Amino acid sequence: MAESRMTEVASELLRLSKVNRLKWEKSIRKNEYRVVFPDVAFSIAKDHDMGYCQLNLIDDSGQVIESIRIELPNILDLLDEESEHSPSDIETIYDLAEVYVKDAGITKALEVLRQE
Amino acid sequence: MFSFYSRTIPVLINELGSIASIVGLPLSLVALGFALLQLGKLRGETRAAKDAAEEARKLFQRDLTATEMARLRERIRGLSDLHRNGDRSTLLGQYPEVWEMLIRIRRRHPNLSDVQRGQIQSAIETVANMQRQLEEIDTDVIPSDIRTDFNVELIRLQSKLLADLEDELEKSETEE
Repeated sequence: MAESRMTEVASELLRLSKVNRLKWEKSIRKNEYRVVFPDVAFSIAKDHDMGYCQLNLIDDSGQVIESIRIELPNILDLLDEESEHSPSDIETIYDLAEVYVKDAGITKALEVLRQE
Repeated sequence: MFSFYSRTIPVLINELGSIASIVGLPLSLVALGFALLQLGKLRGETRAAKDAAEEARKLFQRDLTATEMARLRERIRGLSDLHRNGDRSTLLGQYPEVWEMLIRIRRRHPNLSDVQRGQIQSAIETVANMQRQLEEIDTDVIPSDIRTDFNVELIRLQSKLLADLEDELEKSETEE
C-alpha cells in the first residue's frame, strides 16, 4: 500500500521535475538531491557502488518516513546490446534533479559574470 | 376640619410625588451620565491595559526569538568546532539539541509564512541528515572530506538560512 502511494509520489515528482517546477538543491550527502516544501521534503540519491537509486519522503522533523528504492542495472547489462534499458521514474527524477542543480548554478554564475 | 385634611393630604401626597418625580428625573439623568462617563473611562482604561499587555507580550516574544536565535547560532558554532576536532561522540549528543531547537522555533511560531516554514524545514532536514551520516560512520574519527562538507554546510546555515529566518521572524513580529 505504502509502496504504491510512493510510486504515485514519484510520478508526481517526475511530472513536476519535467516542467521545472521543483527547486532541487544539493543535499549534504554525496550524490543526493533534495527538494524542500514548508512541512515536508524529498531526497533522491544514487549509489553507484551499491547499485541503487532511492527516493525518500522526509517529514517535518527531518526524518525519513518512507522510501522507494530501485536496483540500477549493472554495467554488464548496460553493455549488452540486446538488453534494452529504459530508466525508471526514480532514475529519471535523479537525472532531472542533477540537471536542474547544474543549470541553476550555471545560470547564477552567468548572471554574476554579466553584471560585472 | 377632618374632611379638609382628608381631602388635601392625598392631593398633597400626589403633588409631592410629582414634584419628587420632576426633581428626580434630572438627578437620574445626571447619575446616568456620570455612570456612562465612568463606564467609558473604565473601558478606555481596560483597552489601554489590554494594549499594554499585548505590547509586553510582543516585546517578550521578540526577546524570546532573539534569545533563541542567538542560542541556536552559538550551538551551530559549537558544532563547527567539534567537527574540526573530529569529536564524533560529543557531536552525536549535540546534534539532537540543535535539531530540537529548530523544531521548537517552528512550534512557537505557528503563524509562519510558507517561505519561513520552508526555511526551517530545510535547516531541520540538513541537521537530521548530518546526524544520520555521523551515526553511519563506523569509526570515532570523522573523515576529513565529511568534516569539510559539514562545516561548509554549517556556514551556509548560519550566514544564509538563519540570517534570512531571523529577519523574517523579526519582520513578522513587528507587523503583528
